[in-house]
Amino acid sequence: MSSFLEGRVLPLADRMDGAIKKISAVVIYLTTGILLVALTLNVIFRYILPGGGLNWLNELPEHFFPWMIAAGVILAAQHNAHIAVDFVIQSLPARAARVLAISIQVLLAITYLIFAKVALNVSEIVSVEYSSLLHISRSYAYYALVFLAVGVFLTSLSFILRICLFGLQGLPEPNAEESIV
Amino acid sequence: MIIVLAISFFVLVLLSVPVGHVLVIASGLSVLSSDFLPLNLVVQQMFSQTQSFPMLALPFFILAGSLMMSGTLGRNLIDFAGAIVQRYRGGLASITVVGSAVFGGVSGSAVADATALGSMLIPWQKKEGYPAGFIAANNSASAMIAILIPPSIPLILYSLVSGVSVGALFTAGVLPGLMITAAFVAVCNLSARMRGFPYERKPFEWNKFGLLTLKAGPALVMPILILVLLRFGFATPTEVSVIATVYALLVGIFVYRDMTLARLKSAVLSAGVATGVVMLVIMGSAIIGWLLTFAQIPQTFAQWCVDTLQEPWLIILAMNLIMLIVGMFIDLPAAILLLGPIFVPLANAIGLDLTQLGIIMVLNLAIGLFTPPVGTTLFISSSIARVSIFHATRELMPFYVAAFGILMLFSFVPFLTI
Repeated sequence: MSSFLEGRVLPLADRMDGAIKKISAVVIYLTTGILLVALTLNVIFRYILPGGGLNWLNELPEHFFPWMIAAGVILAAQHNAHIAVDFVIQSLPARAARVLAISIQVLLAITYLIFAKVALNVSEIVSVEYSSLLHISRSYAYYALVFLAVGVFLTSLSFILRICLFGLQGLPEPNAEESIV
Repeated sequence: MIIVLAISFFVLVLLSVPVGHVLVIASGLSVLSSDFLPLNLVVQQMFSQTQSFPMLALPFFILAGSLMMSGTLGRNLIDFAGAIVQRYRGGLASITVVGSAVFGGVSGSAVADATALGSMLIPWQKKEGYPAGFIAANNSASAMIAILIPPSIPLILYSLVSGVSVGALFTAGVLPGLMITAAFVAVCNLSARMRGFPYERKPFEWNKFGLLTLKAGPALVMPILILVLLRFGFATPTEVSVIATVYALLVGIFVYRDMTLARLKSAVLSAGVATGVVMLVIMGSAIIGWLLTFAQIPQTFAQWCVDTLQEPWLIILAMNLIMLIVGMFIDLPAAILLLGPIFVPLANAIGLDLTQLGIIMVLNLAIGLFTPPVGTTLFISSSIARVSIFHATRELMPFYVAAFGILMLFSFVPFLTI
C-alpha cells in the first residue's frame, strides 16, 4: 500500500502542488502589478487632473484584491505558513502527532469543500449585481473565494498523503520571513 | 451559539489547527448551531473584508518592507546603528536594539526584524564573547520596537477595528518605540557593566558616521515620509503604502542598484504569502466579530466590567492582564482583531482614549511575542543563538521589567499618547 502511494500517488500530488503554486504565484504577480500601477496612477492623477483622480481606477481593487488574497491564502497553505499554536502537537509522541496532523487536514478538507459549495452558491446569487463604473458582475470577485476554498481543499488532500507517508517531516517548514507580525 | 463558538475556538486552537482556519471553522459551526443564520453569512462576511479599500495598505506596506529588507540596505542600517552605540559599554548588544528601531521604520514586522537582525548580529555577538542566552533575549525583546515605529502592521489592524486614523496611531507609536529603544539600550549597558561583557572603546569618527548616514539615509527617510504624508493629509494610508512600495523600488533600482527581477519576484511572492496569512485571520475574525455583535457580547462585557470593577484604573489594569495572557497564546493579528471589538466599547464606557488603547494593546501583545509558551521572536532568536528557550527566558527578566514599566506609563499617563 505504502509503495503504491509513494510510487503512483505521490508524483501526482507533487504535480498538483506544483500547478497550484504556479497558478497562485501568477495570480499574485498579476494582481499586485495591476493594483500597484492603478493606485500609483490614481495618486498622480489626483494632483494633475482638474477633477481629481480617475474613479474607475478606484474600482479595480474591488475586483482584484479578493484574487490577490485568495492566491496568498493558498500559497501560504502550500508553504505551511498559516500560524498555529503548535506546542500541543510538538509535545505529542510521533504516532499521536501524526494522527492529530492527519485529523486536522481532514477537518480542513471537509470545511473547505463545504465552503467552496456555499461560495459558489453566493456567487450565483450576486451575479445580477454589477459594479457602478466598470459594470463587471460581482460574482467574478466572489469566484476568488471558490478558488481559495478549492486550493486549500486540494492542499489538505496532498498534506494528508505526505503525513501518511513521511509523518510531520513530510510537510514544508514554515518560513519565518513570511510572517507579518 | 456563542458557547459553540467559544468551545470550538479554544479546542481547535489547542489542537494546533492554524488560527485563520480555526476562525472560519468555529464561526461556521456557530452559524450551523443557530436555527436562523444561513451559512452564506460566513462567505459574505469574509468577502466583505476583501472589499475594504484601507485593507489594501497591508500588502503594500509588507511589500515595501520586503523590497527594502532584501537588499544591501540591511547591512547599511546595521553599520549605521553600530556607529551610534558600539563605542559604549554593551554597545555590541545595543546595535540590535537601535537596529530594531531603524529596521522597524522599514519593515513594520517584528518577526522579519528578529530574523534579519538575529541572523546577522547573533553570530558576531557570540564570537565577541557575549552570553548566548543574553543576546537571544535581547534580539527577541528588541523586535517589539519594529511594530511601534511606523509603518506598523498591528497598528493598521487596530485602526481597522477601532476606527482610529492610521496617521494618529503611527504618530502615537513613535514615542513608546523610542522609549523602549532607550530602555533596552540601558538594559544592555547596565548588564555589560555588571557582568563585564567585552568592550572596546573607540573614538567617534564623524566622517565615517556621515558616510554611513548617507548610505542608510533612504531607509531612515521612509518612516518620516510616511508620517508626513499621513499627518498632513496628502494621501490615504493605502495610497501611502503604494507610494512607499514605489519608493522602495526606486531606491533599489537607482540608489543601491541591487534590485533584480529575481529579487522583485521573491519579494512580491513573500508579501503575497504574508498577506494571505493575515487576511485569512482578518476574514475569519470578521464573522466572529459579527456574531459577537449580534449576540451583544461587547456591550454586555463592557457593562459587566463597569458594574463590577467600577474604577477606571482597575478596568485598565484588568484589560492589560487579559491582553498579556491572550498575547502569550494567540498570534498578534488575531488577538487584535478579537480583542479590539470587545475592548473598544469598554474603553468608550470608561473614557479611555482609543488611540491610547491602541498603543496599550500593541505594547501588551508585543510583550507576548517574546513570552513563552508561544513567543515567536523568542523561538526564532533562541534557535539562531542555539540556546534553550528556558535559558533565554531567564535572561529576559530585565527586558520584561523595562517593557512593563513603559507599558504602565502608557496605560496610566494619557498625555504620553500624542
